[in-house]
Amino acid sequence: MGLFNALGMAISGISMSQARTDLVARNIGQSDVEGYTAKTLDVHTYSGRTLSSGVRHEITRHVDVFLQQQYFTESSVSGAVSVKHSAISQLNNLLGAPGEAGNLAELYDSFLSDLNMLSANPESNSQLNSFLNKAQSLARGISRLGNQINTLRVNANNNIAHTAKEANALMQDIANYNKKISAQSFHDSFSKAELQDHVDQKILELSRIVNLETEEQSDGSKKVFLRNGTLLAHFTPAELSFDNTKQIEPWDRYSRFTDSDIPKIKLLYQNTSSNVLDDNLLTSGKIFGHVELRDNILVNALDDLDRFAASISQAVSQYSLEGQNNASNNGLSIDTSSMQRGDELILNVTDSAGIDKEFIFYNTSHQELLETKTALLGKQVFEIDFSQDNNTLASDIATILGADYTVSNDSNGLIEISSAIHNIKSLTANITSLDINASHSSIPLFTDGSRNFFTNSLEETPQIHGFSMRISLNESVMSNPRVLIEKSQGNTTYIDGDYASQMHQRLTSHRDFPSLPGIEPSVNSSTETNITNYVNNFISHYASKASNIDTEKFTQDNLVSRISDQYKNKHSVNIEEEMTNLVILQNSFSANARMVSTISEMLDELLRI
Amino acid sequence: MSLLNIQFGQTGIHDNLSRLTEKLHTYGTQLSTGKKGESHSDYAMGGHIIAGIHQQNNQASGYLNAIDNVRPTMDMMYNNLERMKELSLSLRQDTVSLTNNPTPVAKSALEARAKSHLEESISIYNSNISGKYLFSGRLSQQKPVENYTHIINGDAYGRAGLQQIVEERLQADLGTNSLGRLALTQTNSSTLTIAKDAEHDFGFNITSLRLPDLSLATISGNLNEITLDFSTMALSDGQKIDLSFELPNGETHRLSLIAQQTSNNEKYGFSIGNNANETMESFKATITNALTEIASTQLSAASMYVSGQNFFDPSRPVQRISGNDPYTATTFENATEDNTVLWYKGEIATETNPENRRRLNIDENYAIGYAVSADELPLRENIMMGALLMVEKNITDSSDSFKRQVALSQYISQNIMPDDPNKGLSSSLSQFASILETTASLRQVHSDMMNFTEGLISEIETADINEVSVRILDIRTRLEASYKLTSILSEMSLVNYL
Repeated sequence: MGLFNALGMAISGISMSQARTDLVARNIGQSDVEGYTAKTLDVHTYSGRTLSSGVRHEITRHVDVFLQQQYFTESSVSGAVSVKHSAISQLNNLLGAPGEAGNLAELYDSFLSDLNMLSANPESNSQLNSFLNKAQSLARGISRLGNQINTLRVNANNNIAHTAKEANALMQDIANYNKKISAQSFHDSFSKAELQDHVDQKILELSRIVNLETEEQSDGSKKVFLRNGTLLAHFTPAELSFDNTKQIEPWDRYSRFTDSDIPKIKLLYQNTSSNVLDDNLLTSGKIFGHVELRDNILVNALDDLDRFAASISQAVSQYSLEGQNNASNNGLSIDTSSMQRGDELILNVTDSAGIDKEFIFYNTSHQELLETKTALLGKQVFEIDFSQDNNTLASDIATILGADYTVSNDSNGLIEISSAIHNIKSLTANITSLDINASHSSIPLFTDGSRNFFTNSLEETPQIHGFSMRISLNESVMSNPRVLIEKSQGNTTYIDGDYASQMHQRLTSHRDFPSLPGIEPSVNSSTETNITNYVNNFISHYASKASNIDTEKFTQDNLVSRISDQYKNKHSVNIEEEMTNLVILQNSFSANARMVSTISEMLDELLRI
Repeated sequence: MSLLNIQFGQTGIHDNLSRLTEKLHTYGTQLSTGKKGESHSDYAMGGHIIAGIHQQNNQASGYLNAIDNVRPTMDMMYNNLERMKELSLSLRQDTVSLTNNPTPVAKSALEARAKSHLEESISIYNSNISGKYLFSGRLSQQKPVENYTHIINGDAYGRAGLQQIVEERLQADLGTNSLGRLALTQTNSSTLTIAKDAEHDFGFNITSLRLPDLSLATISGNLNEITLDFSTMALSDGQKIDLSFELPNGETHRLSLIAQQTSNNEKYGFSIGNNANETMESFKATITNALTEIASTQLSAASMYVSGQNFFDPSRPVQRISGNDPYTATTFENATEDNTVLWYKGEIATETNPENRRRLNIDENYAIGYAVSADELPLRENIMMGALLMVEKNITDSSDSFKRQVALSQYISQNIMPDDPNKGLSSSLSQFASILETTASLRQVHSDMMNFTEGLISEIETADINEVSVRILDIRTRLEASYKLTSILSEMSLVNYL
């Protein structure tokens, strides 16, 4: 090796030191930039005949792909959990604390307690006013909570649109960076690695919105796609489209099978469009969290609250009318003329085989004489229009019941059902009273909004949807509260606690609920419980949900935090390491410089000879 | 963990610090509120158990308040009924004394007792709590019973009181000849006809007449006419002619008239004459005396009793006597609000279970009925007894009032406070006592439940200040250590040493 060769090697070393110094400076300089991965210098030695021997360097970026995908996946789960956590925590706060005066259970208990006090003390005006105040507070409490739940649902719907816009921006960025990575010829490898950092950072942000998978291409660009391979971004971004201009209503439900009232979320990639919800493409991420809130959690919460409101309203306003015996044919006759939409006529029979059966005829104009659902074993539900004339009505009921039964419009304008084969046990009409002066204990104390009565009608949209948001104290009762304590017999009006007492009994006795809160109503079962127990279950179910999502968020945050730490430990800039490198570089530079200086002196010596 | 790892794992330290700070906030809140949680989710199972306990507490509290609200009313009603029982027992005692020993002393004692019985009964039935009358059913704002003077003597608007009603009916039952509206007519020298003086429901109503040969005489026509032909009777000494008739209150009275060969001072004896005419004349004189006596005693007492029952039964109109002369009246007419005092103005108890007019739910599945009104049979009969005795005292006619009073006292002693505990006021009292006992028992259940649930609530919800303080101190120590560590780590950089 000659002096010139040694000089070349020293210069090459100095050059590499400069490059390394540059790298250390960049690493240190960008150490606090989110998503920046520490770069390293790969050094290769080479040898030539003369000055061409030395070291060559290349900047490389090492990423643990498996860890990175895990980071994306858990971030996505975290995105969904954080969205749900936020809404459910708000719902939990709305439910108040146990024993807190304004919470739903306390409002209902106070209402019940005051009703019983009214039955004990009907002469007291202050007791009557106190009861009305409690009823008002209960209606307002339910309505407030219903509206707040609906607002959370509307927000979730709007957030889908906002988040979709964020995702679109991120997909656009990813596509732009990918194009640059692929298209440009870099004057140094550092710029490409930095662009790849940017892509990964955008993918990480996108992963909080949708669950995704990635695949690095040979040119360094990255493909981002959903789990079924649908592309989100490569050189061209996909676009999530969701129209949230229509105000979401309590009765609006998303359906993957039919045209629902809620627009679908579409993913457009080039000329291909897919429905991300219908195709089950979303399993986590913020959008999934918002969808879960909108179509599942909050809609269930509102449904559960609606059932609570409906059960109170019906318990105070509905009465049962029993069929009268007809001795000649063992049949039963009943007056159905007061039945409202949503009211039911229930026929109980023991058939010739000794099996008990229950036929429920639901009053609706959407008449279908076929069984609509089976509520419980032995129960059959049919939709029928009771507003028809009695002859047609009798004929329709006869069609449903079949030839074993005789159904007729009797001479007194009553519907009569008899059977020569089966034993008819009872015929009961559950009728909603709309008249506050009807002289019985069933008084429409609550209304649906300021004017309509709640009858659980199925017309247009099921009336129960969003009833909790609209429940109000009946203005007629407010202006004439004495209907609650006055009972007329003949020409005499008595002050009587009987109506209040009977209302109290109905409110505290067991009723049929489709299910307890949090349990999906089943077509094969229903739950019999009292309203107090139901509201208690309602509160604790959503409080439990809040507690569970709290734990889930804590666990998920911890997991993401650990993966993030691991990822950062592996990929971020380690200042200590860089500083150590700096010391080594300094020594290396000094050594190389000394080499140059020494060789220079040696060459000088040679030149002086 | 290596030093480098700690430094790069600052997110973890940050998370831990955040968590500790959050816990510090939680314990700080517990310290200030004294409660472990601020929402249902802070308790186990989403607060299901604690919410359930609150609900049990509220329910027990609701029923307890309702019971406590009604209990004073019920206690006062019961005490008043107890007092009514005492009054009635005293009145019965005095009627029994008079019946057993009809002396002027007993008579005046009974009259005094009757007056106080009536006055105090009216006062009891008009008792109220804060203007809420206890014995007027659901018309609790209405004073249920008229005052003493109006009930007995009528009011200033000319409405008749019990005195007038009773006297009119008595006159209609006695008739002009005081024979209980019967007429004895001699149709020929040996034949006597006994019949009502007109078609009506007053006085005696002959139901049978048994002749000495034990055959029954024919009762014919609308006047219940019986013809006795003494020429066809072969009477011998000691043979009887039995006459049965119904009194206005439905009781049957039997009168035996005994044929005597020679007078032997039989109370209702008649002489067997030398011929049918003589026998008939003697029989006629005897039966006239007998009917007069019975009319002035048993018939009068029954008439008064039935008048009293009618006057004090507000569920149907009071029956007044039609026409201007009650002695010859043949029909009733319904009284009106304008001509007759209505003694009771509360709610009329027409239901099978009148107590259910006031119902109170004292448990989830248990309701009591506790209404009692002054017009219910046991209560109104008690007030009626005293009133009738007062009215009887004031009747001024020619009959033997002492005997009539004794006869009336007999009715009263038999009907006031019957020994059978399932009848009368005793039955009402025992039913009420049973309701009170059930109410007291359930009150205790609710009270125990309240105490129990309050204890549980306190145990579950209340934060132990000592425990919280210790935890805060612990967190503070850990926070300080964490801050210190963070501080040391931030200084332990090669940057500082190069």
